[in-house]
Amino acid sequence: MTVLGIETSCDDTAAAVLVDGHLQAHTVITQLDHDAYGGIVPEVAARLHERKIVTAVRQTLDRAGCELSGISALAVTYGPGLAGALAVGVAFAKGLSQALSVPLVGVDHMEGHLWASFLDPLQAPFSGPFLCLLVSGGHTHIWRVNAAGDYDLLGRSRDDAAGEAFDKGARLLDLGYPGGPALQAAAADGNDQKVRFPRPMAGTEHCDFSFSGLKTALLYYLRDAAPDARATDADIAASYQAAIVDCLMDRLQSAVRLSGLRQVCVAGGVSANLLLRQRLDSWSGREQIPVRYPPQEFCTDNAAMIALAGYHRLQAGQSAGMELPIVPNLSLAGRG
Amino acid sequence: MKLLALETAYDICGAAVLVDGAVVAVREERAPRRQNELLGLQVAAALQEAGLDVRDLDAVAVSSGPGSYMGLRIGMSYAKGLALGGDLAVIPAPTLAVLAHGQPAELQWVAAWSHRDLFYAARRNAGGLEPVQSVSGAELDALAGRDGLLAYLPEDRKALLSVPLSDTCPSAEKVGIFVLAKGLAPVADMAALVPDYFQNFQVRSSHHDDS
Repeated sequence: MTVLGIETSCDDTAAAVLVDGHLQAHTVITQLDHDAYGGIVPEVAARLHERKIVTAVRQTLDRAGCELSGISALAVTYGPGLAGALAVGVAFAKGLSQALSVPLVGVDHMEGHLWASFLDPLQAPFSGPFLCLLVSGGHTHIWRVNAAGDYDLLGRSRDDAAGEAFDKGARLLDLGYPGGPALQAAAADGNDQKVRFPRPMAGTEHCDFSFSGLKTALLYYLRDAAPDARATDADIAASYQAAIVDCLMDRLQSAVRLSGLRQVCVAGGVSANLLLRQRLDSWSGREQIPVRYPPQEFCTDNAAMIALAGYHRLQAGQSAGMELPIVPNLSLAGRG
Repeated sequence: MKLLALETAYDICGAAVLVDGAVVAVREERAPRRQNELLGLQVAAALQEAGLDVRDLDAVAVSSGPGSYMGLRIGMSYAKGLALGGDLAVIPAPTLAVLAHGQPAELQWVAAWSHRDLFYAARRNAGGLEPVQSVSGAELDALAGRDGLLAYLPEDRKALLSVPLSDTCPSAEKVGIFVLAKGLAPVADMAALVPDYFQNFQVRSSHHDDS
């Protein structure tokens, strides 16, 4: 089965071709025009998708060495995201699927992230249910993945997302945006024991997160530390990053205990963090719990993960009709 | 020539199939904010009634605005997907010119309601339309004067205008008829095609430099 995936939920116009679940080629055209505005402007994003979507699909087919006539199904993100941006991808995918007479399946953008770890051809897929720690600028979730389209939310952040904690920390330290890579770089030569930041929720018997207190602790430290006693920026960044990663590891271990599941994947932008990956690897070895995370390029938005999630849904006999809606506030939680 | 015509620029959502200049199937309804859910179904039903497959078509014509941003991008994006998969030419049809086509020449202005008290409007001339403007109801009254106005607007907005109105309404059928009557050519590269949003989207800064 050859699946063409399409993703236009935010500011990346993306397409991918998968054959029997294996990635052949993908394209991400990132919109740089928003930089001038200091944030993503929804109407601008929608208009840029419209200019780029055909190019993204053509490039991907060329790179995959695939003809349009070889496509056997389409998978498209139908939410969550920006309404106008989603509309371009969904309407385009409907027209294309109708012209090719192939099935169309709608994919939740977050569901795409859940499957992103399995885009790595060197990693064996899990059999049976597994846990997914989904950490990005907008989400910090722990999911139980039962099967394609069947997900239970076990825990979530009660305030800021983990990626927000990175972004806000980086802003307080004047390190630039996006905060994740900037803070990681600043922390590289720092001593993570120099400043003792809190670990909100650590040790509690549930799977929820909280990061706002951590951010506030950094704010107060920078405001109150006496100039001669203040740690270097590298030490502060390292200590702050270690606190975020400790929280993620603590909550993940709590989820393993409470769910009894012993297969874990980690996804979303924060899964690119190298300290988190080191900690996951050593924990995985120690506890004999297999852990998967996506290749770096699939931590951020892409269509390969949408095509893969769509492939799993199609394998389970699911597809959408021409009525597929656009759902900007789509949530995976609570669906059977 | 087998043509599929699409209309989604305002609250009318529709698809029409034209074969050798004759309208052979139409599916259309007033469907504010439901174009995404409806358009594909309408196209499938119209093609079935016409006994045609997407790949039997030569071209897809699409109402290209100005109009509702969401409606325009659904119609245009859908047309692009259909054209890519079916190897079809894409022909954009300016929405106000479609509304004015075939209407009495003494009605010199054509307009469609945009939002609040704003209208997209254009003066008609022998060659078609002069450039589209965005004007308020009061400005449109002054422009159109006593001659009256060809207009598409909801009943509850008619109080915005005092000029005599002659109703017109967007439709996929009219898009197809207009494109054939004018002999409009397909765009060379549909990848770069965008609707006529009328205005570049400008982000207004909330900070003003008064110095």
